[in-house]
Amino acid sequence: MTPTRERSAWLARHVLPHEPALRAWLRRRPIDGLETDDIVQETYAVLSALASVDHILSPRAYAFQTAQSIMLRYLRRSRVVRIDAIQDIDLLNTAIEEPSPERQTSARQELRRVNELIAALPTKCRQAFTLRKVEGLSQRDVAHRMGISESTVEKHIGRALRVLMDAMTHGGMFEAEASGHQDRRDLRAHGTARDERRN
Amino acid sequence: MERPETSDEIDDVAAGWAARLDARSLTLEEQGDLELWLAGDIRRRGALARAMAVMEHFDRARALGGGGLPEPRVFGLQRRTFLRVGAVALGATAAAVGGGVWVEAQAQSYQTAKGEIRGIPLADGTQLWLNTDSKVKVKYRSDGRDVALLRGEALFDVAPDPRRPFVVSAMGRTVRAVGTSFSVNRISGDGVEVQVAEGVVDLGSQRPSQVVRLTAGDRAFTGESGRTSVSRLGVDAVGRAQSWRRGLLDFDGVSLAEAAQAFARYSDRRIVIEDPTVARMAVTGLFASSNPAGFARSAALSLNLKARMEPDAIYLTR
Repeated sequence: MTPTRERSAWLARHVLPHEPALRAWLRRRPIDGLETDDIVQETYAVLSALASVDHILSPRAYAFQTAQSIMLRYLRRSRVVRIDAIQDIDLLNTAIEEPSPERQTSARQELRRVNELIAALPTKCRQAFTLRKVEGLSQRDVAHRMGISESTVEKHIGRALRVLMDAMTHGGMFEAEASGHQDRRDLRAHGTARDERRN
Repeated sequence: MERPETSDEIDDVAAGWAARLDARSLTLEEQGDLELWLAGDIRRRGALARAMAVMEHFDRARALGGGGLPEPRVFGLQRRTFLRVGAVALGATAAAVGGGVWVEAQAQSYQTAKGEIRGIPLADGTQLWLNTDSKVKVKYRSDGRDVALLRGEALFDVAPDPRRPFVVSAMGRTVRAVGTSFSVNRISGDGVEVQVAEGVVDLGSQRPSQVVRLTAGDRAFTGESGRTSVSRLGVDAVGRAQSWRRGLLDFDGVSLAEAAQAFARYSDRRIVIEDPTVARMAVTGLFASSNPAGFARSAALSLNLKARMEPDAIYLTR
């Protein structure tokens, strides 16, 4: 079943802002054969398939716990379990409880970050994405204004979205606005997703 | 055995579906395709949910932009610059269709302090990026677009306009483009470096006889002597080198010494490596350029080194 629009809005509002923290937490306890990206995707799959999210008081904690249960399930299935990996997982509660700077992000900071991300897109993608998302034009109107076909607009938007998904993964933009939390900042700044993939 | 699909590949497909779902209702056939795709791997459903969430997140751009907020700074720019992004896109289209009427403009200067990175949308749809400690002067005329790089490094994502060539000059060299993406770096006391990410540029000088044509993936360096050498970096390497515009340094197997040098451009807090064996160790990864301490800590952790933090320097030792 396709995720609903309501659930997407809920994920955008309550889970996406905590994703950099979740990734940082996952990266600090690497498990052989299980990549951060895979755990994150599976976490979103679980959250999008829930019948209801009304009972979730802390989406941040819920997302962390979901990711943890995915890791544990994987560890239990693998033949060799590293003891330290299990011990590390106990640190989950500390990670959840950390007051998150994302929570304090003001609308102004959010707008700034959104702008930075859009500005970094390739030209055509930026134009299509801006007309569609910032100006709020329909896909047809965007096509008309840019003098290209609707399916090309769709491709540009898809490409823009792909770049933005990646940009949010790296968390480089979250880093730029954090203030006064040196340790947490370090944690986020250290993006080793590529290392993991290569190892 | 078939190689399992990577999460990156899944994201590629998920972004396409999310764009489609956002724009219109799917045809029956597409609905079937999507269900089939989703059923193949649990991660796909998650990737789609996440892609749709990212799309929703950017819908907030409009909500926030129209909300009468106090002027926020966008890379040091005022909010109206953000609002102009839409107008810029239209401007470029109009110019391409109707020829566009351009008014003789005053030269405009932009600069950044050490550690600062600015993205500046120009009136014709060109996107300008200024790296740390850099300065440019932009002058748009009816028959040309001139940019002088006075200090540091800049990246240009040039909107095409055949009637108004886009020319960047630095230390007597000129870089001429029609519609392309490239960066120019004045390496202090050393020379000018040009890297082309997309399209074609002509590298010239005051003497027009010496024109070198560069294509995507090329790097050219002109030293003090005026001699130019061209090397082939490849499009990926150029893209990596230009990730500074997102506030990131992208290292692919560079030595710790080179990495320390890269960070030194952005911060007065130096990374000091005295042991030559340590200096030669290689690092790979994506790091925030504003955070040498975070980099040093990660490097120490992965290379089994010690990072000692002092107020104005960070020492990496064995």
